Amino acid sequence: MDFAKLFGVAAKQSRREFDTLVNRCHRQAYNVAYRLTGNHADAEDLTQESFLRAYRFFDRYNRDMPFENWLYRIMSRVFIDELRKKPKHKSISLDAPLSLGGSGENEVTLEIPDFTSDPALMILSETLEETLQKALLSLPDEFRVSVILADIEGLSYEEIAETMNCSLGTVRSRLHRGRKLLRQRVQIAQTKEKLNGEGLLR
Amino acid sequence: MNCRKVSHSISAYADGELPGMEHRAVHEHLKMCESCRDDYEGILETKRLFGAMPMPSPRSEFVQIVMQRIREEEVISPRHVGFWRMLEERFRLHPTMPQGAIVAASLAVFGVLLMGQKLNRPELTLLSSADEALEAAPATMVFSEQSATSFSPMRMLLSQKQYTLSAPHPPAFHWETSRNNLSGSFLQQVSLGRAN
Ligand SMILES: [Zn+2]
Repeated sequence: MDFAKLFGVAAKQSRREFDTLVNRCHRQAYNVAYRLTGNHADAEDLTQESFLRAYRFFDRYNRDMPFENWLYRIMSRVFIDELRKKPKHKSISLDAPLSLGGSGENEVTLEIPDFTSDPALMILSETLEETLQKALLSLPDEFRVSVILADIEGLSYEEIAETMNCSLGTVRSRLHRGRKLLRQRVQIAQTKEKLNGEGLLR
Repeated sequence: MNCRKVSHSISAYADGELPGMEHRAVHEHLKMCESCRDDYEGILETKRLFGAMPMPSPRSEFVQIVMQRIREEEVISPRHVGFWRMLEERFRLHPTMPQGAIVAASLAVFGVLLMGQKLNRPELTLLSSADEALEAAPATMVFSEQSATSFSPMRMLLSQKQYTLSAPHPPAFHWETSRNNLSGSFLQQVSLGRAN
């Protein structure tokens, strides 16, 4: 048996298959990476690294799982593991002391615009997008991954559990807490903005 | 169902992820409880907002870069097929040989081999990428013994379960990576940091 030749053919075949997958999934993967990291340089790194590792372990990829989900699994591991080793980046203080006359999260009363009434408004303003991204970045890693997979990628709880290698209950609680935090932070940021606009805050 | 319980289920309810009974219970509660209904509206709005975030585009040459890196990584493997097969046979012939010794020996030989062939690919990281791959692999990716069809030496190394044994890395393996197209980003910092 010509081992080397066999080797080369197999490698070429799997590279071709992988090429198709990269073409199909890279935008989606990049989107997730960008929302996870909040900037293009890190998003590119994270996406590349995830594809590379996916390729290294391609013979272990179970075709029953959508490739995207398998890739997200790798990506979330790379993201959570690598980022943890990195010195903590500046924390974004969306929740800096801002007294609104209450202690509970429900005390902040500023309303997020109701998009259902006007679909045209679904195009987010740049400021709002920035606010949302900052809120995402302020979440603990696992919450952030869960929210992005659920609300941006539209994965089911079961898929997220599979991706993050955790139980359905864990997914449920991460999403629950993650969204609560997000809502809180977005509201606070918008309140600040509003007060700023009225010259009440510097 | 009381408000406390509902508040914990409201997110899953909004996602349609509650089992039938629980879903109905929350549904009934929401009909009569304004405060929980507000909560629910809040969750829906948060979902909608984040779902409406625009999709950023990668550079147009992104796919090319990824595939290029993959090809580069594979360049090593075919050359060393003979070596790896030899290693496998050696491994089978001496099942009782202390595994640490095999690891140390094979790493050393591999290192020497690479140096000897003047493998001029600074953008490739050998051990450090195996390292990373192993660490980044989800817990469910179990490395099994079967390996003859794997492509890269790294995988063979991994699949022979030798990698998991701790042996000191011979100095030959410490030549470093510098990824040509990535600068100052966190992954690079991490991989540089670990090699030190
Ligand atoms: Zn209630």
